[in-house]
Amino acid sequence: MKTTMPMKTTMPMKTTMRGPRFTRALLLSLVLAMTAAACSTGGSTSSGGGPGGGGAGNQSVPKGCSAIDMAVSPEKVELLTDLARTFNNSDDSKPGGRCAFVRVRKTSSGVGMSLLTEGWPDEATNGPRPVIWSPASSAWGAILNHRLAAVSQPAMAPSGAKPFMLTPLVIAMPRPMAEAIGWPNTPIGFADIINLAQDPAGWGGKGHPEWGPFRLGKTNPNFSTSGLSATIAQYYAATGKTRDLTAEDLARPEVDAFARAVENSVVHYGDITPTFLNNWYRNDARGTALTYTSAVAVEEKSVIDYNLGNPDGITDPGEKPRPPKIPLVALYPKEGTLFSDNPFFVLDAPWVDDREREGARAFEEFVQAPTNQQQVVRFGFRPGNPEVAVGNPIDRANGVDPDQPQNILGVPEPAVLARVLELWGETRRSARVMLVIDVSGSMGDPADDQGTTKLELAKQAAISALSEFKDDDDVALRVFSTDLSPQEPTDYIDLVPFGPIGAQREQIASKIRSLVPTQGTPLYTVTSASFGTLRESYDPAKINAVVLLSDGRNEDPRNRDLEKLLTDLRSGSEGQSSRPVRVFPIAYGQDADLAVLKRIAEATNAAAYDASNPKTIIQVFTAVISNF
Amino acid sequence: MVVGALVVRGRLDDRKVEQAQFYKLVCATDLGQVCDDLRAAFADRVEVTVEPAGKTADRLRSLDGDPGLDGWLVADPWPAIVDGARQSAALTPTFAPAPAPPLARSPLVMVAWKERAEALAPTCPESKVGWKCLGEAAGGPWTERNGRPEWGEVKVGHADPAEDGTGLLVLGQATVAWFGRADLSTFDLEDENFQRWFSGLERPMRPSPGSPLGTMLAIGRAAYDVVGTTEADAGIVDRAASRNALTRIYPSPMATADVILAVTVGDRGVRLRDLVVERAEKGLTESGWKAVGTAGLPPDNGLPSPGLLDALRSKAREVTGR
Repeated sequence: MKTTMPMKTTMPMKTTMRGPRFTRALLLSLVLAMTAAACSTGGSTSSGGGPGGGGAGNQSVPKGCSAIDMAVSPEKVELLTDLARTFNNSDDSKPGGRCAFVRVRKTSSGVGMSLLTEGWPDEATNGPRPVIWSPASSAWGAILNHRLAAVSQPAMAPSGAKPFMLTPLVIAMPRPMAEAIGWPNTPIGFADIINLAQDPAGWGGKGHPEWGPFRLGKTNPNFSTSGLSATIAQYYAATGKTRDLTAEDLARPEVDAFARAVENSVVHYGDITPTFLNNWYRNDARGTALTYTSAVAVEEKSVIDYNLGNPDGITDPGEKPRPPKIPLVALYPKEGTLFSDNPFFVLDAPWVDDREREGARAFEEFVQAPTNQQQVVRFGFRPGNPEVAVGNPIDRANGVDPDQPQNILGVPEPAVLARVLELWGETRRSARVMLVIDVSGSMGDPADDQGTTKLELAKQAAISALSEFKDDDDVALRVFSTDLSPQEPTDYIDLVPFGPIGAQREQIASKIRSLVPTQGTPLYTVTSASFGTLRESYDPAKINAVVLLSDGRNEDPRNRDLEKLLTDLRSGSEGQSSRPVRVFPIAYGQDADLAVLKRIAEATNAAAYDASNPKTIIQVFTAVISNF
Repeated sequence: MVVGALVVRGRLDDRKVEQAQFYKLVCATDLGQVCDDLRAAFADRVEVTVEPAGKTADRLRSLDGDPGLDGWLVADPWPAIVDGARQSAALTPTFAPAPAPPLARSPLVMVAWKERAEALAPTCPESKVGWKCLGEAAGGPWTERNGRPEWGEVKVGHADPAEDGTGLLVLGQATVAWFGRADLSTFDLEDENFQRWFSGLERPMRPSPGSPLGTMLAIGRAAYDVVGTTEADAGIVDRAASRNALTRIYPSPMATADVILAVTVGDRGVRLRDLVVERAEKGLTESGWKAVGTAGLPPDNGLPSPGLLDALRSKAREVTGR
């Protein structure tokens, strides 16, 4: 049924997204396909939010059936996999007497849009070309069509696609904080939140100096729909408009200044909202939820999941959800908000034939049936079929309000959406990042059949990642291994000190190229020292972080005290006057100590990344850099 | 060998006959289920293409050559709009000159949230919510219309008149309501007060990815306060979970959407009509459209001329920039 894709476009995003941020989306598409099997979904281990082969995407198709491949955004993969299973076993899957077999595969919305722009290359890595694409928001379809039009290609996302289910973008905030700013009696808007974020007195201005500065959590809009929606809402707040945002509006100096001020209050970015929610949940257990983050732009469904004790929205086997001590409440911005409408795009793509289209429509009809839409509600989404009422768990007991929102913001025209993404790359908060690379002896082990060493692959990945930083990000390079230096500190060497990467990108690359494997892995020592270095030279205007790549376990007989390390990391990361330095570890290769690295990430409210398959290291590095 | 050749030739001839009897019907997207029903019923005889009326119209209005269809199932007067434009461009008409009789009709209605209609009504002439009043209120704060501050701005919706088959008719009805008459000329549209009202109605209009009524029902009050559509489309309200919070309004003067099957000049069009017309009528009535002759319907559609509707379509594009 599949036809060869005749279209091959040049990379249009280079022209619209300006540079490195854009390549992340495409590179990330490769991440999960290769790492999914190895990636843990729990805790703070991040899979990067891209396509992961989740769901039924790898199922074989029964003889005589037509495969209806479906790429869906991660938050609904579990639900749609369930529905696909029921559909495939029902008579509904035989429209016109022909058998359709739906296979669901997880693909983050931004990544799906990028892949479709490119004609969905490399099916072996990215999964089969979809017949149905269901991103979280129809805005992604508009951006896709806009980018295709820019390279004279016909639109792929048809207009008029029905929403499968809905969830509004909300501002999640711990209940005491929301009460401090007038919730639930005073309507609160994006502008109020942003003013609070810019108040030098922070929470002190609201009678709670113990909560420290106002800290905003937000995902990277190139990957995440809530990040995209929050960025659009922030521009609306800057202009005072609620619809018809224009490119001219975005170009106004005061709008640019407003956007930069908002971004400056961001804790860190990241590709998926569960990173924030998992960290919030862990902080709640430790009694520090109010000083981790003050507010995060998420979908309403995430607030429900969090309050039910399931912060990442995925129930692992045997998991017993435990509600947090301090619940979150959903603030519905008074100016209006945006909905994730989860359209079903039966793609107008050259690889989709009539039979597949017929099967896709049959599945769409199936998921719209009231019985199946009730299942949507059980998952915390609002139904796309108006015949089904909104009900439990979408209720006040779970921190959300079914009667809200009262207003929505207009979805900007595709060209404006594209410009919003471009501008985000320029206005996002700058970062101060120390790249800490393991050069222990095991990094000299082969990573593939061709004899390429793990270190060689890591060097390529690190050099590639350098282009992902913007010029005014401060980046330093440190390498570590036991007895690396004859003088103290003996276990690590700073090869390039902090400086704007725009001026030293080539210098860092050159140093990376010259790395060679040496001795053991002083993991705890270098983690502690790097964290300390960042804290001592902390820059409050930037995201301060360590990217720690390690392929092994701690092998330093002089320092085996993990608990002390974790205590030190935590104590440096908590409290209203803390200098939050995030440590983002990458567990590289099969021998890496993922469990320990995950605990290190958790202690600093960051996320650990799994590159147990060394071939994925370039993509994983890209996903890590999405946090900055 | 000769026998084989004859067999092959015979099969080719059969295919030619099949090809000749395979009709092409374009069905307007807003007719929804009716199009799917026709596709399923005539799968071996008719190729049904479902697309927005505006897209079909834009393709046909300046096309010189085979129109690529034998018939168009759409609300009246879209085919007349196409042929009017073709006539202006000195092109031959696409459709048969005899006016196509309506297959089914549906009054144009408004669907509103009850409390919002109740708040708005006292600010409208004769305390009745109508298009003239809505155009004045649209985009303004609810606080100026007896509403609550948290309702934000008055959000009025109808389908895109440039694209949707019935969206244009709703705009036509609104225009008739403003002028108080249907016999309008394009000169009337130059009226400054009308232009101000028209911009006030159309500029704040938020596009909906699907039917505005569907969006209103799925998203709720945040999406629209009032939408204009056909009574047939509004049938979904009766099944909606929020039906008790909604009210249906029949604005004055009454206008109707009349579905026609316009066929191309020549035998193929006539044969297509003979083939599908009964099924189309049945499908329409099953979808909530009223049979022609149903009591209570006005004798004509109450809308302005095709040329004026085409002018309104252009004007809407100009005002909204879409």
